[in-house]
Amino acid sequence: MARLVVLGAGVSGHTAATFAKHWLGDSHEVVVISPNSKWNWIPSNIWVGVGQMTPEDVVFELAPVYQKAGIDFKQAKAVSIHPEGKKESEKPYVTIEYTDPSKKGEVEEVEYDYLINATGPKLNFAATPGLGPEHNSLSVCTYQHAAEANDHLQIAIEKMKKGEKQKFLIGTGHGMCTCQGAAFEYIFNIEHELRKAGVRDKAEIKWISNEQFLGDFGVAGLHIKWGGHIVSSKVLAESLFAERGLDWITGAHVKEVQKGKLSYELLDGTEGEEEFDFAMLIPPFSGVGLKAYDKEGNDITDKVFMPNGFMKVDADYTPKSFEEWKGDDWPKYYQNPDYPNMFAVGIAFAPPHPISKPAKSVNGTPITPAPPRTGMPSGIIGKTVAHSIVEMIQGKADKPMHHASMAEMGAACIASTGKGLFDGTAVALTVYPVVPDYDKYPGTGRDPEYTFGEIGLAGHWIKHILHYMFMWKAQLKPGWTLIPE
Amino acid sequence: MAKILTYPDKTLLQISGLVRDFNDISVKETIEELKKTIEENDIKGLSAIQIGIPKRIIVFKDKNQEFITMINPAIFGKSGKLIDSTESDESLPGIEITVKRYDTIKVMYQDIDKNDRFLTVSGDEAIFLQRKIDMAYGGYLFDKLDKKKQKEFFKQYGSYGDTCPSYFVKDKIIKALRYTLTLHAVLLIASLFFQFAKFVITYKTPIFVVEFIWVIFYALYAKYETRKYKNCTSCQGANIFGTSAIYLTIIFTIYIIALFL
Repeated sequence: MARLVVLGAGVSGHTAATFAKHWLGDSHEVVVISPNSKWNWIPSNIWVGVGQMTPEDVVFELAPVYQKAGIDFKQAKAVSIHPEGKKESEKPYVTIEYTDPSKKGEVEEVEYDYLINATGPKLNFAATPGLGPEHNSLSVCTYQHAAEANDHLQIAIEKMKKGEKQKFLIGTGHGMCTCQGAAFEYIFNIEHELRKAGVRDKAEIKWISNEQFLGDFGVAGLHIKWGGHIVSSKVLAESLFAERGLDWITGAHVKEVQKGKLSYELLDGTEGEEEFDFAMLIPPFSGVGLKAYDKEGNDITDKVFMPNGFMKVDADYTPKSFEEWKGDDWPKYYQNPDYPNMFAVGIAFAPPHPISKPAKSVNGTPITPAPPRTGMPSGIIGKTVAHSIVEMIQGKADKPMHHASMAEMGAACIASTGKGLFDGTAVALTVYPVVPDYDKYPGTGRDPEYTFGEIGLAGHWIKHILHYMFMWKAQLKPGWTLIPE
Repeated sequence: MAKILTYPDKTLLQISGLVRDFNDISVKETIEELKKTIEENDIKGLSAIQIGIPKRIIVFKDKNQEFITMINPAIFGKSGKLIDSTESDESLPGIEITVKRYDTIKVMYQDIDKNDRFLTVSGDEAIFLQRKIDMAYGGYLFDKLDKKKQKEFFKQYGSYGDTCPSYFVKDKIIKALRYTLTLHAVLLIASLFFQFAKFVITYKTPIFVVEFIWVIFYALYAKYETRKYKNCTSCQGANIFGTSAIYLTIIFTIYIIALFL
């Protein structure tokens, strides 16, 4: 009996674990290790952040779902990986520390035959002094953060109802952030809610991000059907911002967040300050800080992980200039080059380079969106890696046979721009491939026939339906395997 | 000298890509061609797509009549309020459109030697650059109009032929259904007070079936109609699905209400 251990139970890890167990049946073991007791459908946190959903609407308890599926669930955080085992045993293992209240602090070694690292990111608020809910800004990255952001939003709305003006600052809290899309959704949902509350005229709302241009979204922009033809998301974003009366700054690295004030540096090296009453700023991501040790107990973290803490996989990590980037640089199998029974999926794998054109300020500060590895691609990657591992466990293959390069993969995304049964809107986008392939598609690097989007009420309905579909799927309810990633 | 393409030439619709290889001889050739075309036509500047080259390159003359070449330009900052600007362009001859522009913008770009450059401009030059940078990203003056004005624009100046049109027959089908459902709902309320309106209760099932089939017909026709347009497949499919779901819900709700009357 082989044992597959999955570190993390986010979109990618949960997808990998549940499909692996579904395909392997009872003849092999699947173990999931996650510090969280609940699964969170993160895209809907935006609606928690504006009070349109409760935290309970976007989470469920993992233990009963895994029990039903026959997956061994350990509520614990992974501390270290030992891919060569130890002196007494060659069996690779991970060291975990329980976060389950009944075993809190207990340490255990969990042996594995195959390992999927799906730990997701560490929300690196510490990268910017004063950033984060524990300091001077808010976040919607977890359902708890989103609920807290909504509490602050309701307070701000009450103040505005009493005639007080409020300034909202939404965007990214560092020059190397990703997830601009989440912040984009949040700023439009905030604006929508303020209009509904009848206090829009009391609010100044401003976007601040590390994108080189408005509408970059960390993926070098997209193309949208707009006015009967295809235009860049730059044109769409600028029009939407102007239409809704939203101000913006891009190319900004937030240097410090103080109470009610932040300072930033722009690409041209100039510096500025913005005051705020409410600031929701996405933090940069880093690896969760897993360590790795060899058989002798020597630290091999640098061998297994990149300096940013994400795991090395079958990507080409040779430093290259933007002109030399290729679709082939991106991993296909998500397999660690030194330890072939170790894989990394979702945000946990180290990307070879950004997707957007890199930029530095004249002072040398990097101001470039990090590449997103969330949503649909992370689900697809999780399922693909599970498929490869299952075949290897079953003896059908001796190496991964299924690939899911982000340079060969399309993705669909629906970005909410306001929730409401009849007045809601969302931008529906498809992009192919996610990572531009400049050799195959000279110019933009993308296939114009499959890279487009639209805005409208129908998009909102689809987004709302998807919320229930994915919650259903993740809870392994009847027909869950039929719902795509 | 290159020809300046004018609306509705479909070449203008191509999305301009980033310039990655600065040693590519075609980059220098494009810049020279743009300069020559600007001189010959005695104009301020051009975006490469205006002469049919889908690269993010803009060449223009500054206030001192010196050529400035911007490769991969991006607006990363702006200041001042949005102002109304009535503009025309060489690619939209004889057309004037009033759009919103920023008074001052900050632009990051690369020069021919691949060096990062920054420029802060205000007034007419800022407005000019916003228009040309928009073009490098596939955006034109009419993209900044609201839907109603855009419809009038397309009616007056023509649209882009076989690219995805803004208006479909499917929209008319759904519009007719919307009016029918509104009438249906009004008659349902009227049936509480007037005998003549009671037929909507008597014949609730046949009416429900007709409206249901109407939505199915809409969905099938819309799918067929949008298939002809390369730019509209998937998202339009999502829209069709969403719109059908909305109308089916309304029809079902009306039917349930009729059951209780």
